[in-house]
Amino acid sequence: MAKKATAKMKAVPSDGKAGGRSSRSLWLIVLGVLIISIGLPTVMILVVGMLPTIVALIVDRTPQKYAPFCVGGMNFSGVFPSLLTLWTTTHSFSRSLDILADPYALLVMYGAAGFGWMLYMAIPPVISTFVTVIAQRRSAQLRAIQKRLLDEWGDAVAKGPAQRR
Amino acid sequence: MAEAAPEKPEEGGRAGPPANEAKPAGGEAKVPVGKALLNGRHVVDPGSPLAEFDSPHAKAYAVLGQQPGQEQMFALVCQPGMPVRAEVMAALKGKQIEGVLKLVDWGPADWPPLGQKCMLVIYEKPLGGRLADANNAGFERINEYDMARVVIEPLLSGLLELDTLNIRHRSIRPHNMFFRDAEKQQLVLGDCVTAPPGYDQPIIFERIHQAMAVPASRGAGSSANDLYALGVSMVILLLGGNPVAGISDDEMLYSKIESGSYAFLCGDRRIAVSMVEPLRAILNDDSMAAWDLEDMLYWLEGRKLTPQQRRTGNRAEIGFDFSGQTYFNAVTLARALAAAPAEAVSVAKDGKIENWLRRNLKDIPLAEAVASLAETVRAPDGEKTGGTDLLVCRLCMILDPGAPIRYRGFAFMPEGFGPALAVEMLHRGDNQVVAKIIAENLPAIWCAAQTEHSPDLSTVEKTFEKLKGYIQINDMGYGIERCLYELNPYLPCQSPLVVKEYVTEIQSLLPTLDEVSETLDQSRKPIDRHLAAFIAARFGHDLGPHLSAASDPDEATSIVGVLSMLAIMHWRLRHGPLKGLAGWVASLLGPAVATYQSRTTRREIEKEIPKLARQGNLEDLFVLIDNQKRRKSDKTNFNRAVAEYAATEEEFRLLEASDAGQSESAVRLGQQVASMSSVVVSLLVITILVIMDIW
Repeated sequence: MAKKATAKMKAVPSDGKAGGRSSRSLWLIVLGVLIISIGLPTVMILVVGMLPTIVALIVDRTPQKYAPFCVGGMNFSGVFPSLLTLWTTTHSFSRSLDILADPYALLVMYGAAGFGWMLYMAIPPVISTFVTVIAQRRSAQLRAIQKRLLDEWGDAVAKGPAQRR
Repeated sequence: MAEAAPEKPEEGGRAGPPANEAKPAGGEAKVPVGKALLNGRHVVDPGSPLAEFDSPHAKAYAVLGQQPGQEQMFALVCQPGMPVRAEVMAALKGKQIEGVLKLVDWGPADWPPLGQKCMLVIYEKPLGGRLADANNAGFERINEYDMARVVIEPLLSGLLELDTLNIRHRSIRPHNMFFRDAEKQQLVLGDCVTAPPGYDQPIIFERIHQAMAVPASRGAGSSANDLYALGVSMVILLLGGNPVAGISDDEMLYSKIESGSYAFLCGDRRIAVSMVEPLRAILNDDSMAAWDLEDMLYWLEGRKLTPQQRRTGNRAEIGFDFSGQTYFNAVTLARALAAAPAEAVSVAKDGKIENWLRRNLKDIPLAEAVASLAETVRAPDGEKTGGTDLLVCRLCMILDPGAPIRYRGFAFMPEGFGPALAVEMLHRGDNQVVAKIIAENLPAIWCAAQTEHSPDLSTVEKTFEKLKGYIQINDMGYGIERCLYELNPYLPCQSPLVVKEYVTEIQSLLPTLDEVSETLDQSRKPIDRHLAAFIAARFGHDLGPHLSAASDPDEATSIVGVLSMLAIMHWRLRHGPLKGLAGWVASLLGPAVATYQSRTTRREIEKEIPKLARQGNLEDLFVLIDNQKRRKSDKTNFNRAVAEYAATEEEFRLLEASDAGQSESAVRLGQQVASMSSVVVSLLVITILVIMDIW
């Protein structure tokens, strides 16, 4: 009897958790519908303009997702001027279509995304080379220390006090 | 155990040879080429031997430069390695004693024929020559009327004076008697210092127990020993020759024991009636009943004394058969048992000896003592507890307590063990038996077996207890060599390094080593087992830690130990600079310098060593090598360096380990940097655009 009561008591919070998750999803759906209904022109530009980021998100299978961050950051820098134009002029569906039809705007969006890719591809080798150089320099320093110790104390210093006469 | 200390010698209160005596005014005396100069005064010519004055172990040579009116002298050159009686030399030097040849001077001197220093003893030259030749033949017999005047009076007078100096002559025999004057009226005793007491005496002149011992171990004994030898000499002189010539030593000894010395020597021979009384008395084999010097003097003065003549030990009616011969006496039986140890143990085990002693000799205490020893032998581990030789040795001690200790064919009187040890080691090169005797402490067993107690016994026990302690330690400065120098206080150091220099005193050791250093192989250490033992026995300060270090198998510790020992001697004995010795030691300090880990410290020390060596200062050299502050600092810094090295190794290991994942982590870092840069650039662009739009 006592075991059953304990099981019921344990079951109550898990039921509450499941309920919280479903209500949160419900709220997200409501928010999404509201944003799309109110900001459809912005969403259109974001969806089309941020396509490279979406591709990067799909392509990058690492848990850190550095590629979407890198591409997305630069990509958003390219999309943001169009969004600013949309927000400061008429926030309408037709206006967003005009912007999306502007090759210059698209060039800025995708060019920025491309620059992001370029950063993603170029910086790691540079950093790697830099780290290797640092390691080699430290290694040389250690060798110099060891040589100084051996010159002063002989091979016994490498063997330790136990090996000393 | 040794002869009691004689009166202090003239030079420095110690009976050492007068090696450092003042030279005559005008500086160093010139030594003529090929001659020997003793104490800067006496020139001895090796080219002029005087065979008529030879002693058995010392050759006689002429002393040069003597004027006709002056005292005539000759020199005896002692055999190298022979333990001489330096304490007697010191006591007799310059003394004019009636009946004793005057010892004018003594000391070590360079002896060109041998290319080394030898002990030289200068005696006055006896103008009337020797009384008898070596065979005690070739002289006219002395009748009983002349005997007292010519022989007994002067020689007894000499022995009495020697007795006041606590000296026993121990070389009294016709062959060693000389006439001091050309008229052959003054008879004197010759040399007694060039060999151990009794060493040169044929056994006819020795009391029974001393005769049983090896010659070097007979010991100085008492005045009874001198009187006995005088008595035997009197018999020979009275009879005009040796009455028992041609009899072997063994037979002679056996007959002396069985018949008694007087009966054996005089027997039915024609001895003047007036001489019978003193001869019976001084040839009495019971030394307690024999006349002493005063008794002899009383007799000379005409007083009547009744001598007691006793044979050694009781005689059994039925003899004991052993090894094909029959023995009637415990003393002769003990001799026979000692000669055949395996058989002796067998008869002791069977109880045959005990039964014979009980039933035939009727000596119940002796029988019980033998029975008690036999029980030990019969015990399951009896043989193991001491071995056959030790058991026979103890059996002989019970049967004849006054006899010498007999062990593995080596018979010795405990008081004469020192010279015997020297002769065994230096002449025969055999240390095994003597070392075993000390290790087993046989003299302590002998002392316990003595029926007549004497204060000398406790001295013997203490001495040998100390020696046992020394022989059990194998380090330099101990062992058989230490025993040798402890028992022979005037024996020169026998180390091959200085043996030719005749070093008898600790004060002259370091200067001698310094002098000879250039002629020696300097790749060897300046201390060996003999030198270490000599130093330990003579120095008078505890050198235990130094000796222990010097004996260490590690070369560095050993040379530091040697240096420390030499340094402490240099300091305590207040010697001047010892450049040769310091240079020698300095050349061996490599391993000691190498004990410092710091190469800088080593270089500093190596730079300093030649400077100090040139100054000849061993103490400073030691302080330089074994400076505790420097050593501690070296150790601390070395440990620090080891830790530092280990840390660098660990860092290396980490660097190598990260090398494999280096590219991957660097790429990841690059991607991280790229994404962060992208986000930052994006934020900047947004900020700038917003600001531009607002403005």
